[in-house]
Amino acid sequence: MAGHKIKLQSNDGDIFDVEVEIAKLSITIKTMLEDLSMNEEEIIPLPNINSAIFKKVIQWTTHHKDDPPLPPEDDENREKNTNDISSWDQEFLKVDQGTLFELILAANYLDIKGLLDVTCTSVANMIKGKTSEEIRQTFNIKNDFTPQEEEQIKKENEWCENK
Amino acid sequence: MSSQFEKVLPNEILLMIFEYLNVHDLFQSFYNLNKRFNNLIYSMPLYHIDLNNIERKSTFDYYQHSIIPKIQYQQNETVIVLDIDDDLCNCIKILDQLKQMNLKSLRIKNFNEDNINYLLSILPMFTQLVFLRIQSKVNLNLNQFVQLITIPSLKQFELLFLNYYYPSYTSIKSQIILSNIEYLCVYRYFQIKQFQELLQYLPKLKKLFIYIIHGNYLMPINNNLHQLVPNLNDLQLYVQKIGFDELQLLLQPLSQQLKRLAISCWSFEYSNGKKWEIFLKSFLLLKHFHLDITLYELPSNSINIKQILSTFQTKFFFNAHWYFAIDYNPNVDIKFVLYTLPWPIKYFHTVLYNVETLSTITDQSYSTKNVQNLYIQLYNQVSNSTPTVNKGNSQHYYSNVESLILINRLSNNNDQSSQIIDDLCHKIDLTKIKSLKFDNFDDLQTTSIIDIINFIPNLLELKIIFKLYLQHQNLISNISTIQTLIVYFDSDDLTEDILTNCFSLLSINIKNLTCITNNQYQILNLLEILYQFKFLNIKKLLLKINNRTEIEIFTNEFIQFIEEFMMKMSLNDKYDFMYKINDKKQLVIWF
Repeated sequence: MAGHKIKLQSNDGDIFDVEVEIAKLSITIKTMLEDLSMNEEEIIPLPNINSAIFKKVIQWTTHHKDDPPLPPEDDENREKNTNDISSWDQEFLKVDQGTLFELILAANYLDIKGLLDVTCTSVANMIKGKTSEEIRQTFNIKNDFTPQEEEQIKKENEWCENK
Repeated sequence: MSSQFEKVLPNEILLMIFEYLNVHDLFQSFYNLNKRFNNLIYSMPLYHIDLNNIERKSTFDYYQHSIIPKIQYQQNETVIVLDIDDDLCNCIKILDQLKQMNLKSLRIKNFNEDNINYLLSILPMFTQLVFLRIQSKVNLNLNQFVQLITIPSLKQFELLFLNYYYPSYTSIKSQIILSNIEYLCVYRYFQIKQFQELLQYLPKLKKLFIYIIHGNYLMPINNNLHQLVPNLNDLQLYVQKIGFDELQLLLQPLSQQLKRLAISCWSFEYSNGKKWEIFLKSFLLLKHFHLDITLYELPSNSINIKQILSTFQTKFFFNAHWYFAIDYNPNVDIKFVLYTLPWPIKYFHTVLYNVETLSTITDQSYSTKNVQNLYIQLYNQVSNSTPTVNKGNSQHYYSNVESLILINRLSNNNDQSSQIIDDLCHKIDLTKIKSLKFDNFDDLQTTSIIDIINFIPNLLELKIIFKLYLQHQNLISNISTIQTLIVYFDSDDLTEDILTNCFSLLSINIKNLTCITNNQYQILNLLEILYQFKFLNIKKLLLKINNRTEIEIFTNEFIQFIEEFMMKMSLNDKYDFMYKINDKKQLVIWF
């Protein structure tokens, strides 16, 4: 029923009244409502999401509530969509890296395929075209190879460069 | 904060992100960073080998000599998705290296005739190939078509052509074994009889997109499509020279199964809402209905578009949430377009001014969100007329256009370029446009319309006739985003001096240069001139004869000359390059 709301609680205690149709874009919440037969007075806890991130999730789902459903992913349809991000989503994703990663984790936990798709695409776009050294610097990734392994890598790289 | 990438994101999320990268980007960015990332790279459930957009030979070498040997010994479960541009030199032969791997999806664009036999011989070795898309430059004969649709593992097959092909297949009957295909898309006309014969061999079909045309054949009374394709629920047809009643007769047996029906046609007969309503009422499961009718000629008696639209303005259509619009201008090439909203397909032809548009909904803007390829015919604005552009109004606003084709219908006596550019800026989200083509500008003496490129910030590709390019070379060179330049040489009388001067000033941002010529002598000229400049910063050079000149192909002497020229290049200047001659019509050099 349009306008019907449920209560969802972030892990820092804030309670959000969210329209059922919007909340159900999350397969996790939809399953909770349908399989666990939770009634509208019950508060559904979301232990993995803080209120700042959950606000963003609600903002995204509200904007995309009328989108057609994405095709199901199966063995024949596993390749990821790397289409451009819509201008609204681009604006929405103008956040710091930490928030972006938290959004990915939230989308994954809540099972919101569209949000997961657009956030992963955004990170992938940050990566594309960067060499491994640039990635090491950008993401501060530690090198844990032994000196022998380093030597092996060096030889391999020389081979590749000479090819 | 930046180290969170590694700390915060667990392996399954990192793997998920990696699936959005092709295998080249993945190895270039993460290989040998540390042990965790090396393990992750080798744990990928899917590798996307993208030989479609590679810019230089060294990238192809990296695939061939480094990446593929590394991933070759992965467990068989790892899915390989391969994209190939057959215009790139012998890319397709990479299939030899992948024979032992789990190739699930293969997409080939610009498929050339000389690779047909190779492809048909190697495809059966990929026993897990599920998806195949071929965008072909040449027609396939019946035997080749049959071989492809009967690959046992294949469930989804798209066969697209760069040209229109009208029916040439003889009877499909008795030459074919059953196909396992569930989704078939063929950009090719089939006569109704052939269409019915084809479906006999596609019992698992769920989704179909095909062109059909009348073929002097009377439909049998016991039309039994529903028995041939009992699972078909999504049907998209391009319909030519078939009467509405005949189409109705053909599709009626599918009335109890179709969930989506899309019809594109070019006949005024289809613009009667009453007929559609009676027909569609029997389709009880139909959720999605798309219609587009484009007319270049109007019926001899005058038409009343309000009256036509009113036949689609009934309770039946409103209850189904199927809304319609008509664009009407009897004075231009495309005179009448009737379509469901939103506009159903990604191509849209329109004019900039003087279009009367009516719609069956008033509380919603006309949606053109599906339009990715927009063709706009530019006519001089008639005085006292109202442009379709209404600033501040979202009607006819194109928000997702990636490819814009401007077709010149302007007269020489009045340059309205600045007004046109201003109106285009308000009509289209120019930030999305990656490709721009100026079509039919050869007769125009002067124009400033090309200034529009200043307003397209992400333009990657420009298609333009040489004359216009020459006039505006400085401007074009200043647009640093343009990496691909496609130039049409329509005139035979270009002197060597003009060409030399022009290419001496070619921007270093141009990495892909395509020259479309009238004959092989122009190709020779261009090759020698570009050689003088050591091919500037070009990574891919394509010199071809215009498709319109059907009979013009490379002579054997010319091919021999090219081969000698390439030999000279490799010996004298030590270029690292590959070259290929496709279908005796084009020469590709790749650096």
